[in-house]
Amino acid sequence: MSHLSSLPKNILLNIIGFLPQQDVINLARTNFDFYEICMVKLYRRIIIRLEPVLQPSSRDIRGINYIDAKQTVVYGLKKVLNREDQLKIINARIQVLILSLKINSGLLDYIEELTIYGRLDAATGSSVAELVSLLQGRSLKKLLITDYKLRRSIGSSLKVETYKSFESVTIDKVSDLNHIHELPHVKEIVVALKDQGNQPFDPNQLSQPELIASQLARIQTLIITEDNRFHQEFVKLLKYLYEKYGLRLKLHTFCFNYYHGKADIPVYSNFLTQTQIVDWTLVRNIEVRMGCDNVACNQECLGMLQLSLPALKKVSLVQHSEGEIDTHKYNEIWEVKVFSFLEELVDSGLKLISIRHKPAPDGVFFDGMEGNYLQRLQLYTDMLPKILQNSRTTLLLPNLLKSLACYEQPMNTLLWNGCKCSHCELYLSKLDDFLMTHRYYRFKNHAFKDLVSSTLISSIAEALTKRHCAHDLMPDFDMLRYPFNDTRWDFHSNNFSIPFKCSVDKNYKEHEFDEDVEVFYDASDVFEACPFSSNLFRPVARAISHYVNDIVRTIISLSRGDAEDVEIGTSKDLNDGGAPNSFGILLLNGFYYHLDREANGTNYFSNIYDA
Amino acid sequence: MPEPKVIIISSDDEKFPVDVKVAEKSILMKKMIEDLNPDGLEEDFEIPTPNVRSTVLAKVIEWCTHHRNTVFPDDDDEDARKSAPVDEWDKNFLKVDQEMLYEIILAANYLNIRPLMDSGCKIVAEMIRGKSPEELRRTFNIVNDFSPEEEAAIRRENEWAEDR
Repeated sequence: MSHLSSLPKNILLNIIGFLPQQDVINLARTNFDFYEICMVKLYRRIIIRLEPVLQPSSRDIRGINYIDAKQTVVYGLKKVLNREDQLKIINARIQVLILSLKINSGLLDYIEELTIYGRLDAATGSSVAELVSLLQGRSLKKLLITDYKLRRSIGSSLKVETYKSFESVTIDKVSDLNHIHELPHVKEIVVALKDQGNQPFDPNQLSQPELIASQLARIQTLIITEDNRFHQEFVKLLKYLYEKYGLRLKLHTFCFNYYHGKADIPVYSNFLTQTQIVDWTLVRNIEVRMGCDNVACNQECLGMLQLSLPALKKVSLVQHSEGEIDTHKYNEIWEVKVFSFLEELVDSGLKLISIRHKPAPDGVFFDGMEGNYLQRLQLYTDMLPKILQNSRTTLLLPNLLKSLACYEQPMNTLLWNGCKCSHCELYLSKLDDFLMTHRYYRFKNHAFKDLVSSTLISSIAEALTKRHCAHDLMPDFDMLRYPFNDTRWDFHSNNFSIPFKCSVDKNYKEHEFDEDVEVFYDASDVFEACPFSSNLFRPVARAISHYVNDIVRTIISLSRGDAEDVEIGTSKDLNDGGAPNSFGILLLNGFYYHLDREANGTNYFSNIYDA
Repeated sequence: MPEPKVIIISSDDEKFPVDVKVAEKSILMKKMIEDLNPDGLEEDFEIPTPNVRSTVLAKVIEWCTHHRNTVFPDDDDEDARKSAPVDEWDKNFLKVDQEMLYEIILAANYLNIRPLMDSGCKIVAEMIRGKSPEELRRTFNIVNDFSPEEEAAIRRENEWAEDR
């Protein structure tokens, strides 16, 4: 008779690998054999961050996903607290972890990956430093600290011995490469170059360039920062090693910029794509930050990016621009270029596609045409499924909603003529109230402006975007490596102006007849009385998800609603089920979907976190 | 002439003739076929599976036949394997009693059919989710060998990772 306990260790480890942290802890407490195996999983990959793990909205079997099993997350409390309190609790948790590692030092060898995501305070930072110093000379393979200041303060206190076990290193200045030959296991280099400052690359910064070239030829993963200044300096280094020492990179993962700047300086990225420095036939995962700010070129150069990538599995494309994009037209051209680039790649058997836009921070563009909105949407709902066919690709669109939010007419439709379910009736009308009682300060006009639907939806979309861990030094195609963040917007803070200003009366009442009279507001005025706070965020997100659900329905041609039908899925059926099974997983601006087919052939989707 | 078949023989000597494409879902069998027939299969080829019962083997073959054309994430892409939800068809297919489920997982492990093993393991993981230690002991017949002090110590040790 087979029991769970009688399964071999590798199978048990595999099973436990699909469990989120609390279940691992519970299983560890059942008996000693399970305890031992569970510890391997619990300590293997740890991420320290402010946000708790987003919880699925139902415990239905279709609602289960395994993203939350990928890392053990050290966060504050599930309850929404202010930043200071969250940090205090995170600090306390790290201290408990340190104590456990000191008492039971065998656990130290289980920690392979440690990620510190986002900005912490000084006290928490020093606890992290203590934790890292405990791991010296143990099994740590990757230490990724996204915050530059913390990275520098921890990095400066570490000896080379600490890194001996590392398979991944982050370099902040070119001369860091001088130690690379002392690290025998390194396979991945993350190039941040933040310490390089404005210092241009100079070959004298390298003590033994030939040795460095031979080390670089051995690495498999190269992630270069998106910051174009530092990117350019690193490309100069590569160029130098290529021309002088014949460096050839044999990468399977590569993240780089393909960017044409305003002033017509030579585009160094062309060096990467047009010489033999990278053996593209080996590349399995790429991230290209594409963009062109050169007015004369008008993004024509993006069409010249042609790579033959026979081994490609995952691709992420990021809209890169040094300035603020202020027209839809620019985005529309960019997207067409990106799709023609993608079309060339699909034959290789792509498993994952990610497209990240650079939308307007406040959601206001003045050239929004509804027709173009529909056209853009069609690229995702029609063209992409057609080119991918039945590949069940993973599609990540981290901020598509924020980009679509810039079209005002469809956003008005969403708010005032959208979903009619009882949930939306309630919360969309709350959003209507919100619009009527809030203003934002527009620096360009030096005045408070009434909120438009675009600005509101765009702000909600911005908060939803933060559900997935994303950072310059983390490729977008790896987004699903980290459990989702339970981020909540407080309905006032934003990333383009001072917090939204609440007013007691509805905006139209105040303004109707005396447009010439300038009214001055104190931004903190009546703030406390405002009924809109982060508690409302999840239900509001759910209402917005009903709009996104409709997009998903179009993608899988579920045009008859969710009804089931025995004839569905036959070859004659042009509607439900006739659509190709193009996507298995879809992440659309914080909304996460599984797509599959019922036993009778109907396509279905499940909205995991906001159903 | 009909295509030569792969004949898989269970521990209780039942023979299952299958197409090469179906058998090749098992990396173990794929390697055996390739190693012993470098020029491709010219006649029927027998593969014994001495630790898989016929009822289990029949299930495994049913799975391989259904998924003969499915493209799965690469075995070495741990990240993609872990992101993938359990296939709807697999969920229905694996609605079997605990013992059968474990035997399918063991067979998939032995025959090296990673996607089947993963689906099975995910189903077991779903059975573990959301249960207290006591519930887990009952569901899976786990014998508690901890003293109350030891259990408390383990709880303290991992408190930093508790969801609360």
